[in-house]
Amino acid sequence: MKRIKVINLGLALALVVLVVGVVSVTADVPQGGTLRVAIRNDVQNFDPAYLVDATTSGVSFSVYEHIVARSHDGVISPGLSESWEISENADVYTFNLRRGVKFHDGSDFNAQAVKFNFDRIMDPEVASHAGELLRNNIDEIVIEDDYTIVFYLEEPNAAFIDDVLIQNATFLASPTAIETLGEDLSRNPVGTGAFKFHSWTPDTEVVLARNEEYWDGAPNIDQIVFRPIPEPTTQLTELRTGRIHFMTVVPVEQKAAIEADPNINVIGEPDFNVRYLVFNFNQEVFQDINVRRGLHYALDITELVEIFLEGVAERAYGPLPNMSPFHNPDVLEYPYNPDKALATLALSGWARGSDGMLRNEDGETLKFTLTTPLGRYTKDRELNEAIHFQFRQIGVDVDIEIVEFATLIDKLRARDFDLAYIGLMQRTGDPTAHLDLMYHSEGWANWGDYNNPEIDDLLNQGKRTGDPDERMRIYAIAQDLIMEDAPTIPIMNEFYLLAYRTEVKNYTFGVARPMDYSKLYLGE
Amino acid sequence: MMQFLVKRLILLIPILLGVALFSFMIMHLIPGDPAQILSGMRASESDIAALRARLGLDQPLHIQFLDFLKGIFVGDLGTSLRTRQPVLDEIKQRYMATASLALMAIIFSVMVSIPMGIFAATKQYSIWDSVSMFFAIFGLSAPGFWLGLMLMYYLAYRIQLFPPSGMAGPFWTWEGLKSFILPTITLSIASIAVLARLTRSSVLEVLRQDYIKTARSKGLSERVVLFRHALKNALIPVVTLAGIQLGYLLGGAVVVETVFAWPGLGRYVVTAIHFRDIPVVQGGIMLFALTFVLINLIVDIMYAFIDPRIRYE
Repeated sequence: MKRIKVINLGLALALVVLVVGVVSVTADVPQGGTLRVAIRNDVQNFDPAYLVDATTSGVSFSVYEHIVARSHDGVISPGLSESWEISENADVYTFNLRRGVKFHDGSDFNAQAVKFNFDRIMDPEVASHAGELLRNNIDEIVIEDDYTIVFYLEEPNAAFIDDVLIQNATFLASPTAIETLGEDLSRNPVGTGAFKFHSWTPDTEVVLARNEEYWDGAPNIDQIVFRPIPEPTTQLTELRTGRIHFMTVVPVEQKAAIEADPNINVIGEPDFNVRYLVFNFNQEVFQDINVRRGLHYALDITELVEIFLEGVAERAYGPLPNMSPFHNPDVLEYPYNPDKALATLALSGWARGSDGMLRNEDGETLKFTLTTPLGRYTKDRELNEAIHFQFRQIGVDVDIEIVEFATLIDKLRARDFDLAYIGLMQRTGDPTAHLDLMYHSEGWANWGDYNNPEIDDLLNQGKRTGDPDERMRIYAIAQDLIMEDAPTIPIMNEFYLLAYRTEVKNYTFGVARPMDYSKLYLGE
Repeated sequence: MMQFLVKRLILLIPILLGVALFSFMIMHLIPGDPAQILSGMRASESDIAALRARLGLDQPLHIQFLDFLKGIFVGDLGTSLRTRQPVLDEIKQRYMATASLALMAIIFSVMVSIPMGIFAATKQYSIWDSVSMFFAIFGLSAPGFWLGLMLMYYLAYRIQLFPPSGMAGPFWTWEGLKSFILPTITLSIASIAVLARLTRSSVLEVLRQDYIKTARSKGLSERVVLFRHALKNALIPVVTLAGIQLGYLLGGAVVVETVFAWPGLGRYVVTAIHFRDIPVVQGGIMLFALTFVLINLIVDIMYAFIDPRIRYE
């Protein structure tokens, strides 16, 4: 049921976009003006090979494009490719490129340009963060003619487009610019997008100008000015005084105040992310399924999310984001039940002693450390302090450790943790972008070294199957199995929230592409 | 004098070497691998290793430190790991924003605090004395963060006199000047408090001296006694403190720069720490240290001009 609803919504949205698009051509919307957008940090590096941070990525979506586009709700759709074919076992991808498209420097967009970009990222000398991923996936890139390019994969991958072809490193830049600018591409992006790069004044503003020759029609506005404003309260004041139109990070504390302002729209949807607690299987105590399940029962997740994240997140059900079209609505759950938690732990010999602490036969307490980042996710510290408290209530000897995010990543990579709070933000709900990374024994975000051959098999099957219905069935089983095995405790799906002024018209919001300004215009 | 200057300048070398070593060690000792952060969470170990090699972070620490030192002597602070631009260029742009704000703030502080301190001293124990010293203590205790947001709320949002944030241009343009006002006031409050309190106590002390009594008994007016005889001596410690305050303002504007989205060096270095952009952090700290010691030197030299009794041998 859920899936049908989502797809219908997608269709409806596409229709609306189509209709509005048609209307906007005929009804003479106001042209010109400067759109001002607040960003949290300054942009860093526009060279796709080294582009990793979210801010630069968001700004880049207006300048660069990928070989195919992603619609606002995350569906792969035509863009620089008018169409594409995927071989039956998902190992050959053929793209028919759009003709007549030019990069901002006037050079032609064609198959040679695409291949040039991919060859560069895959070159070990370039040392791009995505180099190995592309090398592992792509066997050969063949130019069939000027506007047809074929990717032969090392092995079948049904999510090749979603997971590999659309990411920061695969933004397509002008080959001429790459060759002539060298390292200076980092501050002079040249793409095919709706806006051309104009100027960058560090820590002050990035200015983009309308691309008159954009293949999908020139934007209505003349310019976008991105202003880095680190402090959310300052962003809000700028928004209220009308000096900026968009605020891209809305702090929970201020959501109500912003909503009360008649000149401001607040919009938000659950994003493609799951924040969860991950068990480290290298710790002997967590190899015991009764411990993992027992701890799961001990948490009143619904209440925690309601108390700390009312209106900015929803409770996670299962390992896939609730928004994903593949989400299994009947996925196994562990409803809050302290008695059941104790009973489950008792199956492995953990019983409460006279001091109220859980102890095993040797008299040892159930001791571990809960590690949480500080300020990385909304209310991360507060939430984990409450989780710490709920564990303590059933007699778990748990300590809490609050660390900076960079430190947490170091610890996760070194497997130097017991139980950690972490999440992953993706621009798609495809299970390969979530389950494969966190629950496959070889997944790069499988921080706890979870290893279940049955899960691996299912995920491999799902990746190699082209048929969407068959994939749906496979992933529904996988989600149940993962929950049954409880290698993680899913906590919540955070919303993508943003606020913008009512002068902004015809803006389409979607979590997969929130920073798309190509079709909006500025009205009263 | 010349000898003193040379001695002091030579002393700078070990100080800056110490700062260089210290900033280098700190950045390499704290957890968080720059190559890892620059590669994102997804990058494989081999991609990270390749980037590490490309950035020269795979070299032994002592080699990296020697490279850093060599660079300093030829005026090359390395390349930012994030933007791949020379650190010196990146820092130069931001330093101008920080320095012009700090200058505005110290001028404003001196203009407000010295009259305030003198006034409080001459009217000791009056209601005006209490009021101005209350404000001084308030200014000293109010966190810059809170004060900045309050000023922004009332002066930029409620009555929209000034822009809430950003540097709209250099201070000699009208738009630019308007954007300087809120950060300048916020940044000045603490300095005003410190300087006003010192001026007050220093003037009070001088006013008790015998030569002031002599001046008064000669029948000089109170105005002449105060401005011709007392102030010259009372302001010596104030000048020292103002110099030190300027040093702080140049380096300690992080909070104000963040609240007002000011394109300054403090905010830039703090972001760089967050991303482990080691060359930027080291370069920034070196510059902060250099500024601080140079300002102290200038203050010492200024003594000789203000107070002829002081001689440097």
